[in-house]
Amino acid sequence: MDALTRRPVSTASDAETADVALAAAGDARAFERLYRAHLARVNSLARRILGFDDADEATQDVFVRAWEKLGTFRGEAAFGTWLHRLAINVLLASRTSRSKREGRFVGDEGMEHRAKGASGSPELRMDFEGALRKLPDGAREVFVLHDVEGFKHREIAEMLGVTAGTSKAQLHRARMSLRGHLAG
Amino acid sequence: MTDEWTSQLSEYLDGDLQVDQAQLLEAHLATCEACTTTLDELRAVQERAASLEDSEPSRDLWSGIATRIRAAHTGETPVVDIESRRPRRRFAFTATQLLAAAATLVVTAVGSTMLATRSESPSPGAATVIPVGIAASDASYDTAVDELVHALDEHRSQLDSATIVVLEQSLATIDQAIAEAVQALREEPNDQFLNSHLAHTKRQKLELLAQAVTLATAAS
Repeated sequence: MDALTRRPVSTASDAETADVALAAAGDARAFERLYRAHLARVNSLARRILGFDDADEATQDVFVRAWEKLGTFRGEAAFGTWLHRLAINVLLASRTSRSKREGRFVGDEGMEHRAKGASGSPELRMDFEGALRKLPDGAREVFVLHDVEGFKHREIAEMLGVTAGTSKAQLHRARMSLRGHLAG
Repeated sequence: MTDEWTSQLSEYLDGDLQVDQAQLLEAHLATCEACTTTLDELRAVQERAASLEDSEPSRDLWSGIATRIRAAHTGETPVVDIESRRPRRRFAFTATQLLAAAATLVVTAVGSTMLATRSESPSPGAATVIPVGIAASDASYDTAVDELVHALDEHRSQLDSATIVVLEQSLATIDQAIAEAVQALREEPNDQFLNSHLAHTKRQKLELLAQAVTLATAAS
């Protein structure tokens, strides 16, 4: 997977391989160890794609789904890689069914206004991840998948059901908006 | 700086522009300070994104996961929302609670022995019967719960972490249901359903605690 060349998932250890086998056989304690090892990665991804309000519940959904699907894991890739891709699928599927509680920028004009204001007034400058959460859904998802997770536009297009051109346009939109929030 | 050029800056940054397009843009950048500045800013955004740190959530999420995977393993539905039955209230019952609500007697093991005999040291495996009325009496109920909790605390180390998580999650759910029923009864003290639900839920808590004590003492 291209994403791993940029933001690698931790290499599977022998202990993790053993835990995967135990968990697949129904050992909840082994699965809890896998959960502890990968929680930060999955929760951070959920927070960036869905926002704080929905991230924890979505993280639980990811691990429950992983538990259910462990029998399909063949060990062809590292468990972390498999879990990460599963997490993206779960998060993207859930994003359409979750209500969006945070305010979003309506369009490019509003985005530019907010970015300039933040840049000119340090005391008003929100942190980078906070600004990320304020992006429109499409721009945020593409930005996270491309610039944070390292996926290619063709992969993102497939995940989101858009064209590669749309993915590129959304990425540029997101980057232009985030220019004023680099300090945080 | 114009939109014609700025719209190409991200693609240029990512190496996605055709060679001839890239050459044209580079020629423009050599003469346009604004576009050069914007390109530097976009590059900084890109680098910032790649350096974001992962962090864990502020609360532990495992208990909820453990409950759900345990329910999936046993085939039990973890929560049944009876909103449709009582549309003005919000209660949640586990499937086990609903089954227990139909029982007229609660048969448990070692913890129950303590309830009936008030003996100080439970004998593992000994079964007995708890009269239904025990849950209806606040004083008896509170004493019984205290004794079971005390016994459980003494043997808690014998339970595995997953069981403890599920136990605590279940007790929290039951306590929440009890609190909601008590609150609702303040408004409608004569509601038969609520009174029955409260009694059954209290008894459910006793049964759960007794089962936990049984498990813990059996493992000692």
